[in-house]
Amino acid sequence: MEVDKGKGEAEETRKVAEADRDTVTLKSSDGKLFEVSKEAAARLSTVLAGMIAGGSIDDNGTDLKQIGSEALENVVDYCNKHANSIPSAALISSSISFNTAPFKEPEEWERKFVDRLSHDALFDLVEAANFLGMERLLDVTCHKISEMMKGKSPDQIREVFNIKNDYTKEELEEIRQELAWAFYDD
Amino acid sequence: MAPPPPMLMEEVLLRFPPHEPALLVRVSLVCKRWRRLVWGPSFRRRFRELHRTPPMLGFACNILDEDRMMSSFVTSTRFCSPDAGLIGGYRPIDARHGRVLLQRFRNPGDALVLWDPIADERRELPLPPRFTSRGFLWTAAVLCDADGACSHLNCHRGPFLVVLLASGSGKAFICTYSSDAATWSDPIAMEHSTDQISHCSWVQTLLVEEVWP
Repeated sequence: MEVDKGKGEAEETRKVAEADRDTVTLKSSDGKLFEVSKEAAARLSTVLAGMIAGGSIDDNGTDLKQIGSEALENVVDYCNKHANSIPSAALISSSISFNTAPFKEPEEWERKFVDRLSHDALFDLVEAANFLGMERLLDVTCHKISEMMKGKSPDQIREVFNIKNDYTKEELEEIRQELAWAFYDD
Repeated sequence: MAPPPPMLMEEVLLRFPPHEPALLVRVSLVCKRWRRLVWGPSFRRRFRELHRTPPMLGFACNILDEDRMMSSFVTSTRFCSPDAGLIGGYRPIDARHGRVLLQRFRNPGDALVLWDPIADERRELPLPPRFTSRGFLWTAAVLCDADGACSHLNCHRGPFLVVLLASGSGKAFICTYSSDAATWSDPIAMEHSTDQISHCSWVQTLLVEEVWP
């Protein structure tokens, strides 16, 4: 794969990746290269784990055309911060087999990690986590968005997230009456 | 700002706290698409799988009030089915896997009733032949009867078993009701003396998974 030779920093990253087999190099849709711990990438992303196992990792930077550089930088940052934590497989203790580990509340560092993101960066990161099959990052980012809705009325949520109300007044009133217990505070 | 990616809204709604069901009801009023998501059967299945341990939304209890047995459903979070607080005339016997087994002791007469507190649906079960709830000391348990290993996250509308243990007239027996067969098994006489199980009405049932076939 062709790497833009004009970008000294990217070239440097490539050399480091080749020299150190503990990492893999990922390439964003806008051509920027990022280095991530191979162990953390394989543990946190089912898609990257599959690519590593299948030998389809490109030393010159594995193309991730669906992910922009800002989101990929956050993905890599998250993986590297997570590198020393407990393997997610250890969370699965039930004898019944499930597709995913059970949801656990984000840890303090994970909260801080998503709190600093703008709304747009957060949504881009949700999409990147979903694309890469990163269940834990999906938990952390989606939990953050769910917290942004907590304590807000449907009107306020529509305003914050720019969503169009397609209910009629009558339809809303009907649901409110049917499920009055959920609306005591209003 | 741009709305959350529509394809990923389900992922966001799945991370709402299970012990606060009112929050999900409230966000379903944002737009019809969110309502369809939250109220769809696949969302409920995924929600249970993701959160695994079901939240405690309330409990049924029996209260002895001036010699009268009163029963009540007490909500422990903001959650309430249409007339969940009103189970007068019923006595909770057992609860497991999303089902509550009630004894109805008033109009229109003695019966075992299976109650789904979330949907507030009740299903009357016949009593075993030659059994009356007043002529015996007895207790009963309800459990899931799904084939194979069941996670018990979404089986509350599936097949179930009721196990009844009773003693009276010098005899003790056990019999089971299967929802698939919709009948009671023949009673199995027990070797224990009736004295040994005469207090069974006061004992909470316990499901020992490894022993059950």
